[in-house]
Amino acid sequence: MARNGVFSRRRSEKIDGFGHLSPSDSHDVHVLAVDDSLVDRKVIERLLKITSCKVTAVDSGRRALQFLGLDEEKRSVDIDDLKVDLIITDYCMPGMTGYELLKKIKGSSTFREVPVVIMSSENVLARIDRCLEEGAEDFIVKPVKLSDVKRLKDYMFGESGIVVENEHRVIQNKRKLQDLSDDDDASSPPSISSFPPSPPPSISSSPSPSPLSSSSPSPPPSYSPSLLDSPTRRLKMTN
Amino acid sequence: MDRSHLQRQLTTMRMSLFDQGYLDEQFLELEDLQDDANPNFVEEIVTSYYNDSTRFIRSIGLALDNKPLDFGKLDQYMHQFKGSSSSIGAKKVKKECTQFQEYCSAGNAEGCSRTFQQVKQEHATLRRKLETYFQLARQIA
Repeated sequence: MARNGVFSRRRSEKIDGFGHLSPSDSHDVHVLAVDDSLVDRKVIERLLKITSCKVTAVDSGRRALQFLGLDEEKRSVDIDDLKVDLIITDYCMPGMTGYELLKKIKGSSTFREVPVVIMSSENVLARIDRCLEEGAEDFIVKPVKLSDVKRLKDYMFGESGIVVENEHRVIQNKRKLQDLSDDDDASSPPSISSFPPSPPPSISSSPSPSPLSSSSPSPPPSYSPSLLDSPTRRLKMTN
Repeated sequence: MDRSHLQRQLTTMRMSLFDQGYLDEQFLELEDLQDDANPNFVEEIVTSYYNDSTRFIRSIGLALDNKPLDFGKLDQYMHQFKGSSSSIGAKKVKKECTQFQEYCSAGNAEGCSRTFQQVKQEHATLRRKLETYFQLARQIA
């Protein structure tokens, strides 16, 4: 059925495991934040901590790879102990850009499933597209706000914010179903204004046939379920 | 001076920083991140910013002395400096940074030099104002 077809595009789990939460396997969301700017690192760290995430903040793509054990020369942690649930990285960094880091992560068998979010002060559609095509989960325009981080965390890890081993994507998929049925606001102007006047409007539905309809053509691969909730969806509608 | 008077002074000072365009809503975002466990978060961030940005100011100044100007490098430095400025809500500083970058794109050396003076001026003015502000805030706390 097309419903499962769409949601299993990037995640292969079924959606009926929601009832089987296993608290003993749960942990707080652990985020690896990468930014060369000290100020931005401090801010993102605080934003993530306020939303109850564990944070490891590093100042370069190189250090991020070292932390993940993907750097050929140095390994800093034992892979088995490393549970990184999300990587959020600045785009413009000296040395390795966030885009290059993204490619390395998506090219690794160990970490390619970890969602990567790109932050950038520049709202360049071509850049955003390139990142999304390379597998970035979302793209946030700086300066990053608390509402950006909360929204990100909510749609990636569910409102409980607890990551449950092997189950968190199940929760995520179920929420996608609920959120898709809440779609409205098709005429909202696409914008990434710095101050949303109220809680973010729900993302407008795709102009193409609904992905839930069994007769529709499948959406392009880059439109994963999480993207439908993501703020960047509004950006792409400007094309 | 009694506390409520100081509090009123602080509120007036704060409002004028926004009204006069020195700070934008990003500063408010930072204030929202402050709590009893982290009561000085904003001041810490601003301190980091000024420690960091002094380095950029110096690099840009040096680069402007190197003729012919390397506009690419200047733009890169300014991009980073602008980013941090934006992160603390330094509105006027950010505006001058944008102007500077425009002159870089246009390859306008004189424009860059002139605007850099504005950048430094706004940067210093904001620093003074925020120092006064935080000092007063600490008196009240």
